[in-house]
Amino acid sequence: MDILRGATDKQITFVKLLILTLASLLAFTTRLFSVLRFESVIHEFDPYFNYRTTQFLAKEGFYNFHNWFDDRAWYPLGRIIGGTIYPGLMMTSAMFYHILHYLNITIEIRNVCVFLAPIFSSFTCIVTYHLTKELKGPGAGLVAASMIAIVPGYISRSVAGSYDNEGIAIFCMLLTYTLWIKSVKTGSIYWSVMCALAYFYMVSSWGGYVFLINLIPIHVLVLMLTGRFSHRIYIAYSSLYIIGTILSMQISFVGFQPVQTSEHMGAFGIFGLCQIYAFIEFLRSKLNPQMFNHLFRILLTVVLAAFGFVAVVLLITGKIAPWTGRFYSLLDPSYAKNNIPIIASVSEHQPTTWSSFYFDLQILVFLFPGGLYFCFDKLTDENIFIILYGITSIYFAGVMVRLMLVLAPVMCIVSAIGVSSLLTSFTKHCEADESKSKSKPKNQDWELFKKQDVSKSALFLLGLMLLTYSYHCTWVTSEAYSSPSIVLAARQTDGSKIIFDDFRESYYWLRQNTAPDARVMSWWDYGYQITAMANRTILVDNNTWNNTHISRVGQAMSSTEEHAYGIMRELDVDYVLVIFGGLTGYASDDINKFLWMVRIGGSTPEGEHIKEPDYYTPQGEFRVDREGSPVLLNCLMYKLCYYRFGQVYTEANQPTGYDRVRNVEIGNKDFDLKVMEEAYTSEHWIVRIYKVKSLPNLGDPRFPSEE
Amino acid sequence: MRLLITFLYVFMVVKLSLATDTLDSDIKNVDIDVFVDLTSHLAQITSTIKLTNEGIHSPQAFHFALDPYISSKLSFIGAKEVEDDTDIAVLNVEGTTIDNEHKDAKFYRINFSKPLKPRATITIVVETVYSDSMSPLPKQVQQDDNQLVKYTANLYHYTPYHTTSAVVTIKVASKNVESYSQIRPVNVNEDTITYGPFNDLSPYKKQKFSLHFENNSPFLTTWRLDRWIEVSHWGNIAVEEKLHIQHTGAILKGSFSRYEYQKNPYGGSPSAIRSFRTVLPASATDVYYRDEIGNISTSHLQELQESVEVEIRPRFPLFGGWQTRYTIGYNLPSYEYLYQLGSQYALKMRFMDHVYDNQFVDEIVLSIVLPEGSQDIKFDPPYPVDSESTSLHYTYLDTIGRPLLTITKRNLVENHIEDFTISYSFNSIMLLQEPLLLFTAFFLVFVVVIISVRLDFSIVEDQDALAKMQLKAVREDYCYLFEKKLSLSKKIITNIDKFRANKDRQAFKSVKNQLETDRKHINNKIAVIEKENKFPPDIASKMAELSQKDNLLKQNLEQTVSLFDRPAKISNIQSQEDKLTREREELTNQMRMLLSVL
Repeated sequence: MDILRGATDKQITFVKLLILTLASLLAFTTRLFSVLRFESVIHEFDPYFNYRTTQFLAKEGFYNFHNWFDDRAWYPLGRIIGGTIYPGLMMTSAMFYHILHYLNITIEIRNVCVFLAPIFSSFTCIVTYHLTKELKGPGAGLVAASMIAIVPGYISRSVAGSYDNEGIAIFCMLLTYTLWIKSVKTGSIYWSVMCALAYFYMVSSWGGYVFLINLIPIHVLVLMLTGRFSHRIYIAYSSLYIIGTILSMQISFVGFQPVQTSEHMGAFGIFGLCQIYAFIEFLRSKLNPQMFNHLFRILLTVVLAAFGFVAVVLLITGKIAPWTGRFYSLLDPSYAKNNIPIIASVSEHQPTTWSSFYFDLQILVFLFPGGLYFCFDKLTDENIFIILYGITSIYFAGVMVRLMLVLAPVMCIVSAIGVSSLLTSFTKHCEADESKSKSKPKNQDWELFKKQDVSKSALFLLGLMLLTYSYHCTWVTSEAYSSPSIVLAARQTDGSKIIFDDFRESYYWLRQNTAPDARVMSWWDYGYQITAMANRTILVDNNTWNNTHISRVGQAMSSTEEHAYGIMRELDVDYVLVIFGGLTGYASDDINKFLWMVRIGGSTPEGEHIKEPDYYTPQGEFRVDREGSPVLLNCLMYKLCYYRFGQVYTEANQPTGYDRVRNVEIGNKDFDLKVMEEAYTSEHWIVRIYKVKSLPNLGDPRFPSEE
Repeated sequence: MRLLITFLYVFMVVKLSLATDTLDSDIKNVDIDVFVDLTSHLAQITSTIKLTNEGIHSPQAFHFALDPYISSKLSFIGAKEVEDDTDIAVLNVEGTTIDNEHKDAKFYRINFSKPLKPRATITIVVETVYSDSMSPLPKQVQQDDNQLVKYTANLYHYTPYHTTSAVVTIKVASKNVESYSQIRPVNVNEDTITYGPFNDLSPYKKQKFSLHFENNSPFLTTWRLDRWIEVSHWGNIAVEEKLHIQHTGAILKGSFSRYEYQKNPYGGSPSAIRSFRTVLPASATDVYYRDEIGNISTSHLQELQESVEVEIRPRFPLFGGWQTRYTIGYNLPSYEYLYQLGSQYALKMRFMDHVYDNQFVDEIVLSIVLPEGSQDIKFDPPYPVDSESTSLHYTYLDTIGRPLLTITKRNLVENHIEDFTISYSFNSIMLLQEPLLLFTAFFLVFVVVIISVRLDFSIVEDQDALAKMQLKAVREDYCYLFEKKLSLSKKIITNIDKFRANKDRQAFKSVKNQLETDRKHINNKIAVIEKENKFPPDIASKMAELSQKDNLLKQNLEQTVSLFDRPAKISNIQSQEDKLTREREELTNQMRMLLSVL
């Protein structure tokens, strides 16, 4: 602080710029662990779909992309890609790609995709600075920017290679919020329109925009209730709602949802309320109180009745769609578990544990209440907004683990407000003491001395906390969030690193050595990866839009070989791909996911014969050893995973066929496949591909007779 | 344009038809020793031909004929002259046609190093390599089966001349020979089968024979090899090769069992190709091995004295019919391959490099990217190529584009690993183009930033900013005046010290008065400023504090003056002076602090 005393504006600007630049750089570089450790490669599942669509967009142009009917997925239904995705991410990368190529910077589209999320994290730092600056001041802005640069909750979804909507959506969201605060503060149409444009970008890039379009109306509502409603807010919200809604309807995936579905009705209602409120204010200013009260009562009843009537009519005629499953599960955490297994089966839709709050946010968890205190301490329109954002997102993050992402930025902002306020007040004491202590002997004023000492130790403590925060964040990033999951790495007993590249091995085998139009059946988790890396047609993928179709695959997997053959013939399946971890101890394999296949398979009328209890032992356990249920030991999934595994020694002092994930000797070792044959198994047996044999010659005893 | 092409075409046809030879019937084959190497998937035939000239002329060349059925499979032909098992000269081989002689046969004219005199004999070794001459039989095998192939060919050396004596020796890949044609005399010794000697064979005499034997050597075909060479005059040559390879042996029948494959890592799956060795130049650095979906982690690099060896292990083992595509790339220092003479440069590199032993490349597309601004490009291939074209390639920091040469050739084998030369002229000044480009770009960015920051482009006057700037100017004036005041007070103190030294009261008084009028003058100015401007509250309060401090300072000075400007001595003058000095210093400091804030 001493350096800044008497510093000119230019010096202060310089220091600000320096800190902000360093924070942005840090945000970028800390996300590169996986690129340095492995390679510049796309991670996980969904990013592969985004990567594939981006390749298409960059190559074929926007109109072809918009009209793209993908026959590689959801065989035989296909999928209209252009109309069923949020194109913001692909458009952004394609734009970067074309601009760079226009400048003869011939970077591959893959690298654009890999590094997009880290670049947008840098942008997020800058936006966070501006948002916090509007709320508290430049000091807090810098702290917030530095905090968000490394907060693990955000890094988890934005490391290099994690090419997903969220990577840019957080930037869009914070940009929209910043501009919203600006427009609330100034009440200028200019900022509202900018806010609407940012909102449009947000809508085009992530389904999470629904959170945004509910949060802003809530903010307006709270401002109304607290009597802070003014012309500024009227202008800001009305402009944003009208322009933003019209713009958002241009995204074909969103379409008419903003005026039809329940999720968006809140925003619409508040828009109406704004008009009524403004009209009433207008009347109040023109009429005397008595007349006004009379008129007000009449108007209120008429308007409410009309509104209610219209809403009921629309609901009955189906013009307003009820809430979707995912949205329901946000409001009622147990809803999905009871009603929609497909949503519940996704691990990122699970409720968040307490430990992961600490893991992803560390000291922010403790600083957040402090920051909230300072926000309440000096309540302004914009502080109310950040309080609302904080509280709602805490709730949502608690319901669904993936929404930690929405919580992380507000945690940083509010904590930064707290830290900045604390720092300001404590450094003030230190400063004051220093100048006075020169003139006065120390022993004269014990009070002052103590104050100074306490301030100094508090500052020290705060510094220590921030230091541990940065250590923790780096550690978490390096250990937990930087593995591409397409390449697995493990440590051997002698400490050397061993790489399991089985996924790419088998996907590449499919790509090179199967017919170009071959159809591959696998559980939906691997759909995106297979289409992107193997370039083959698949039955179901991570889009999970057709429950019946996924259920059909689940039925095939949980039926006996003979029964499954019928389903596979019906679906024109050429190859079946399963993930098996029994040899290497890779725990997230298909046997561990198998119960979801049974549940989803049995959830439609066609799969009524599949009942979950059949797959358990009489004691209600899920076991693959000799005690396991015979239905399980003879179903297709079991056979495909364990085919010839019964002959393999996996661990010393254990019999053959010892499964290293379940830690048991498998129950059904010696069996042969009748209607399928092993086509390929990867080096560590993680991916196993089987070919479905074609229809038998007449009277072939291996095949079931046609009924 | 079209006319020109037609003309050229006609011209070429005429030229080709002109290149017909006539056969010299005086030449006789005295002794032909044919060695057929069938240990790999290529048939490599070494024909040692002893010729004699029975005529009276001295012919310049003799003719080598290829059987029609095999001529399409020929990948390479080369000839040399031998004497007592030592090479004397490499001979020139040219394709040609001969009038009125077997129309479907293909002829090559092999020029002697010197004309063959009458009655003289000469020994010529002709080396030929044929691809695709062995076909798997059975066409499909199971994972554990050995691969059997059938080789069918003309047993006799196909020649337009009369042959006195001939021997054919065939070396096959293993001892395991299923069957061979019984044409006597024949002798089988482990993996070597010898036919002959045969005597007095008439020209173009044919005898079909076939061999059926086990051949588990890798039947690896490179369907396409894209070799990309990018030359930088900053000292680096980047090489990248994209390959599409396939196992073209017996197709895998039934399933591939990983269990069986792993159970017996050496003996099992005999026909599968697990890995192969690629030899790169010794100076190759930064080697990478990847494909469309990323890095391939299964490879080993070994740096030897003479070369860098990469053990290429495809992502999956290659069984019959399986294929894969991959990319391998590396950097080379340019000083080993680039030669310079003034502004003339010559690049000498391999047309095709080693991919695997006994390689067969169906098609190679060689692309050479020269630095931007290269001119007068001349490409000199080691052997005739199929097509050659130039275009422009744009990459990092390019403006006019780099010349790109694309050359294709089909049907190559290991014998084709030879150097091409490409010469071009390049002005070294062009080297500076890219740094200058960067420099200019950054310079322009900074200029734009400077201009946009310094100048005001808004069409509306920003009242706030204007007022702020005015206020700042006024504040600066204000501070300046106070600084002046402080310097005045300093002057008084120095004068007091002077006065104490020389006791010149008169002079001191005049100085003091002068200073006081100055001070009044300044005070007036300050008063004007305070009156005319309206300051924000925080600044106003600081200004008030400043003037208060200033008053205190004035009082202090007056007290100091009165302390000395007095006839009578005061007892505790020292302590009083100390006190006043301390007070004065503190006030001055505080005022300076306030000024710095203002």
